[in-house]
Amino acid sequence: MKKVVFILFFFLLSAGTYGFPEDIPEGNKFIFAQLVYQGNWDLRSQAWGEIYPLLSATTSIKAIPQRYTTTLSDPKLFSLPALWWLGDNSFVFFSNQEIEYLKRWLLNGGLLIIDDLSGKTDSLFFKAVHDQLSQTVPEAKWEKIPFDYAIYRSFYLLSEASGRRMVSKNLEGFFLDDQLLAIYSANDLLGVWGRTPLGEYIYNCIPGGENQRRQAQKLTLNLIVFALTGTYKSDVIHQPFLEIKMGR
Amino acid sequence: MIMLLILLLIISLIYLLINLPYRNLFLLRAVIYAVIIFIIFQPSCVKKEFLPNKPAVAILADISESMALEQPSRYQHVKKFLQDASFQNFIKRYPYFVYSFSEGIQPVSLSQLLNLSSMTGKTTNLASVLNETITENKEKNLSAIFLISDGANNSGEDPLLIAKKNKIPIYCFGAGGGEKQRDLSITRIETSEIAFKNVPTEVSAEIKAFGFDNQSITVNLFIKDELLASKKIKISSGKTEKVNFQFTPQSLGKFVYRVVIPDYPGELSVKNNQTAFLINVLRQKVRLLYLCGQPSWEYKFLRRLFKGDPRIEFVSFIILRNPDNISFVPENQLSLIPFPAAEIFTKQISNFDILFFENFSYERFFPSNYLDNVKKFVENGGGFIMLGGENSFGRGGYKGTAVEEIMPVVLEGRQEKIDPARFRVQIAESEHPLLALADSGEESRKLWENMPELEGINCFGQAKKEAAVLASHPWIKNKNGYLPVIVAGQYKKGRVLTIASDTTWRWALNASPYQRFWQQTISWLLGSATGKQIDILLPQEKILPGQEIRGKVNIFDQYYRPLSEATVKIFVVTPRGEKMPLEIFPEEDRYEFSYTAKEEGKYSFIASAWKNKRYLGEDNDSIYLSYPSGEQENPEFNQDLLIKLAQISGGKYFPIDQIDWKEIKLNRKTSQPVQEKKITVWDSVWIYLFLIVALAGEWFWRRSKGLW
Repeated sequence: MKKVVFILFFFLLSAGTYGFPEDIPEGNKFIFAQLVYQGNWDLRSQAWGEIYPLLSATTSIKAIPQRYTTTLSDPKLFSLPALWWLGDNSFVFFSNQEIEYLKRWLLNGGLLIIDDLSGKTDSLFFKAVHDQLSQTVPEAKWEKIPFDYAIYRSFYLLSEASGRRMVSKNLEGFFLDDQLLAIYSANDLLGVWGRTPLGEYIYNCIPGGENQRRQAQKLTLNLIVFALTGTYKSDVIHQPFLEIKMGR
Repeated sequence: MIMLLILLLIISLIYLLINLPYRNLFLLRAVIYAVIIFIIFQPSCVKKEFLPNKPAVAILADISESMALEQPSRYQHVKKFLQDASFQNFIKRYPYFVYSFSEGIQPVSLSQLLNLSSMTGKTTNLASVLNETITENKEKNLSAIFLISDGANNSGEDPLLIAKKNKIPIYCFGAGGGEKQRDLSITRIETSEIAFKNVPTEVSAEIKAFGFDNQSITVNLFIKDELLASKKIKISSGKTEKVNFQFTPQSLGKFVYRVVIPDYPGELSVKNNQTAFLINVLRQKVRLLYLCGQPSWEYKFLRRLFKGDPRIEFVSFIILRNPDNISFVPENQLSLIPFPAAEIFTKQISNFDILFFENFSYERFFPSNYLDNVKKFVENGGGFIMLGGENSFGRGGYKGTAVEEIMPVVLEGRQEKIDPARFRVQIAESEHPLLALADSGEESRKLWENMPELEGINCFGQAKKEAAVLASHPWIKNKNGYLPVIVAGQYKKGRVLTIASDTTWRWALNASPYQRFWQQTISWLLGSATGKQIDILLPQEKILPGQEIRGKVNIFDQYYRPLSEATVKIFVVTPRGEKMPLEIFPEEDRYEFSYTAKEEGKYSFIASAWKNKRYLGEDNDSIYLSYPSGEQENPEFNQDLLIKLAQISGGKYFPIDQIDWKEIKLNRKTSQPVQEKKITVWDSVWIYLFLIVALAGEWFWRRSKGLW
């Protein structure tokens, strides 16, 4: 009997973490949603649990503490305006229906945040993602996101991309005209968050150590703020203040 | 005639050479036949008449407005000239034709010229006057033109070219320049007829002077009686100075602006010291100010929509951090800027067209009396919209404030609940301009039935009496009925919309007509053409005082279909401020009116309409009438032009009170004028009489001889 209760307890506990409820409540709050696909999709499951308290403490953003997951063929995709896509290797390409849903979701304002966990330049994951998205929205193009783009100043002032491994100083963007459909990080961004039960970070940051970790954490928050505010920090009203802060 | 002679010759030869019985009878018959053949051919002849060779004179007297200037007036000198014995004696010797002129010629008599009391010509077009005179008198042996004028030519082609081409001597009698002349005038205004609200616009004026040396003057720009701008310039005789003004229109509509320079004693004319013109101030872009209490999906999707609309200038502030948030880095590592609440709500608010509050509570940023400026903003025509959220409506502290006063709903206070459940809105009128998602009501209703659900609703109290509940909750009720979700209202000149949820972004992500809904919302808030049920149309072409203004009024029902059988009233407000009703003529689905404006100035037309006692609204439009510039701009006596006209044409110039009549010699033309006249011979009555007598005589002769 005790065993049953114990198992039931852990089941309920994990349900909160893994988005067990079917519906996604609390309409205007930020939802951390992750894409489930036929590949290594779930390598940073603890990240949101660490991001959430810092996000809530330092910004005015109201977020839902649970992580949500969805596949591309699930209609609840259209209740999730931003989706994190994690991977480290190639994967099975999406079906026609998944491509159709993904395309519609992207063109209607959805944002993909893609985090490459491989730590390699031109990884298999990178190539697969590029090919998959180029197939989904052929009219859009991959470009380096310039350092004065709103992502680098949406909350913290940053000069370059960061992550657990410094594979590239740049983020890449998948642009349809001037609409950003997807952001690609080659640096295992969410890898800087995971902790052991004793509170130590699971992974070291290479080569910059803890300084690099702080920059990566700032970039994570910037991406979340950017997902909710778009190019707000590129508005003219902000420029004089930012110039002063950046010492120009 | 030759033919007739030949016939008669033939007959004569036959008569003489051939011995015919009854030769005389034969002769008579032959003559009759010859005359008949002659008539059949309808012969005619041309007779030339030579006319008398006396040279004729055209006398042209200038009656344009500039002839009324000076003391005594220039035209007084003209009258004196016409009454002068020397002139009378000279002119008696020749045939003459008298005309008054300004923009064209008008035949008159000398006594009419002497009795003329007012100068009415609005412009002086000497080229046209000379052309018309020469053409009119082409066949009358015109040998000279007497041009009595001040030379203040201000329209048309160069008269010197006409004078050179025609070589008819022009004797110019200059009337004017009798006193020391001086005048300041505004000769030209350059501006666009259209300006945009909150966008700097320019007006430039050209100032001309004569009789002033190095004078410093102030040039002012007014809107109605309010001074907008002032500039000091130095002006000298014979020179034109340009003055540029820049100002930023603050209100929409058609306004009369005036450029004014001071009057100086002794000026020839003070009418040209000010010029009025109309500028239509339009909205260039819709300026939308969006205040967001925290980053949200609703903001993200609305920003994406509005930033992508070239008609909208989107300005937003998001509260990224609250006082209870902490920071682990120095401020200079954050991109945060101070929220300029005081600046916006005390100074800048009137620069916007629409104000959006999403989940924004004012209490942290400014005192509640700043909200009075929001109320004033809406009173003056601004649009206001509040979206739901935990910091909106009563929860945001708006109960009992100026914002609740302008809203179409009654708020509950801080205890106002938010129901978190998802729901699909129930639409009241699918064809309402805000809610029409398709061109037909039926299609629109189906689209609404399939719209994605919203999530969460602010449960404010009730809609106010005069408000329109456009959409409500499908099952949650309060004591007043189903909870209102979308409520629209009018407050004085402005419009207000409340949406009790902040999750319309769900409509966007699901590819529903999200864009159309919000574009219609913006148009409605602006009270733009898609939101107006009554629309006046005035003619766009230039209309002069005295011409008829024909306009139309279009009336629409609440679904913006043309509406007939409405009661329409229209008034005109004249430049003097008189308000008069006009008759309306219904024509199918529009209503027409006309009005003849007599004087220069701004005329405003105000129309209002009712249908079955329900007031539909009001519209107004204006038109500015003015005479084309002319006499008052350049009233200076132009002796140079008169001298040149005389020289180039072979005539002479005389000041009007110093004429040497001996120098005026009118020459006969070397070729005599001829008048040709065509005479038809065959229809002469004598020929027919001859025929009758000849035929009768032949008959009697035969009878007498016993011949049949």
